[in-house]
Amino acid sequence: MSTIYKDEGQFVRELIECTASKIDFERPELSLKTQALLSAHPAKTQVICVASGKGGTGKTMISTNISVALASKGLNVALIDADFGLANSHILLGLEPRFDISSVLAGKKHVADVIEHGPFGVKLVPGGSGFSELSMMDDDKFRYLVRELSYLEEKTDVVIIDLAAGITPQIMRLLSAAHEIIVVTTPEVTSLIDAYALIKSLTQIVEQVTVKMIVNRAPDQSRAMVAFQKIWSVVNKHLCGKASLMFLGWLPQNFYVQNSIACRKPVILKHPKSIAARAIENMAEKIHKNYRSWKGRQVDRWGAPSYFAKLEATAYVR
Amino acid sequence: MELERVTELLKIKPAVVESGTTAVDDDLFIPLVGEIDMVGVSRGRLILACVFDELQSRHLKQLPDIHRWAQENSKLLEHAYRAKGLSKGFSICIWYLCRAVGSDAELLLPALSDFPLNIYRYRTVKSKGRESLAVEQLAVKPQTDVIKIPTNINFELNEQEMGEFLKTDDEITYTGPDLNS
Repeated sequence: MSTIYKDEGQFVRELIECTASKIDFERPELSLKTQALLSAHPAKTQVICVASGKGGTGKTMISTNISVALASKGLNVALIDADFGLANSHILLGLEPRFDISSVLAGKKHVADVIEHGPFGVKLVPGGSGFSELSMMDDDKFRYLVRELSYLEEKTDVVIIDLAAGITPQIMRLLSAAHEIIVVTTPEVTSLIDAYALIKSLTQIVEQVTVKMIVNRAPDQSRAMVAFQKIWSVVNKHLCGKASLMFLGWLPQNFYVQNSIACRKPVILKHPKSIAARAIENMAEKIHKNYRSWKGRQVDRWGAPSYFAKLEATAYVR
Repeated sequence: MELERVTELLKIKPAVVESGTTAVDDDLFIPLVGEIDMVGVSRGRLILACVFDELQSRHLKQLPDIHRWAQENSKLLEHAYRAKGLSKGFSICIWYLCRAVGSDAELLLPALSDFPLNIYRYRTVKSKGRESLAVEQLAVKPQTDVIKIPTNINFELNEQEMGEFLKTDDEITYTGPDLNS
């Protein structure tokens, strides 16, 4: 039989008073497992994952340009092309890699050996193209790759990971450990729906998701605003408390972007005065500012853990 | 004195740490269970807040017990909050607020990563002759748990979600954050 209380406050007060005396505050020393965790170290490198639900949103163009823009500000930047097997960041950076991630996975090369240097010293880890087996690695291969990539932890300030499109377990895995997540969408409703589905999926894995949105290929700012408003309001309504969205910027689709791609040069270098280039510089400035603040918090054991260490601690469940 | 002021401020304005914190009623601010100074709900979480001057290892060693107590009693607490229409259910979150962190406490922190713990540092600041409290979260707790990735991810949108995306652009009024900020 349940007891009826005058008010809920009284109920909770009594509950607390009754149980407080039962708590033994003098606990024994911590276990060996927890002692072992004392060796945990904060991340030295900030890892930013760039994702999209739908393909063809311009993720790679944005990832390469932001990487170059951050490097031009003096940061030591690495770009991992994680669209394994279908990678093309090297094309947009005007590079012709001799080796790629497949050589690392085959045990023939280390990550340091496959890195190519782009504008302002951007370190590109090419994802390889022309084969599909890398798009779904088994657990052992994945962990091996992560350990190899952790080489970048000591060598860079920021790592940008250009992910493949879609909502596969491997993409979710790479996203789950990220320090920052950028989702690129276009104003089309199908692209917005897929971006939302990606964020929704991530909330099933990560407790609180913060996503920075980029609206690409918007005819003008008002269309970019409408697109962001749509996804922002649905997230606030249906994923409240689980996910929050921030606006990182918008980009127009115009001749300058297309021309820079055709010329295999980042638009910020090819057409630095274009609206697109200035928009990217603006986004990079926000990311840089955020990085400085993040770095300031990474001074001791309080810091966020290493992306690669966290990634190694992921596992698939059925 | 400062410690008392922080506790008082939390009672009056818990949102100083995080917006949306709602206590069941004022009487709930009871410093009885160990070091707990405040109980409230926020964003689907049961918040147990403890305020210290300097956070020491002995405070942190109480964490497993406070967490266990909250787990054992969460159903009862949920009942109280649900009756007030404040929450349909919640997860447990423990906040430690302190002015400084002792070195012995700092060493223990990584070992407590299994617990839902947020640590905030507070300090008084003066602005335009007025004193107020600045609170910052010290860090995300080191994540050492295994992150489980489902191989079968359900990302289907329900009808409501889909309906909102299918609104025409004319039906949209921008109410989001300032895009130029």
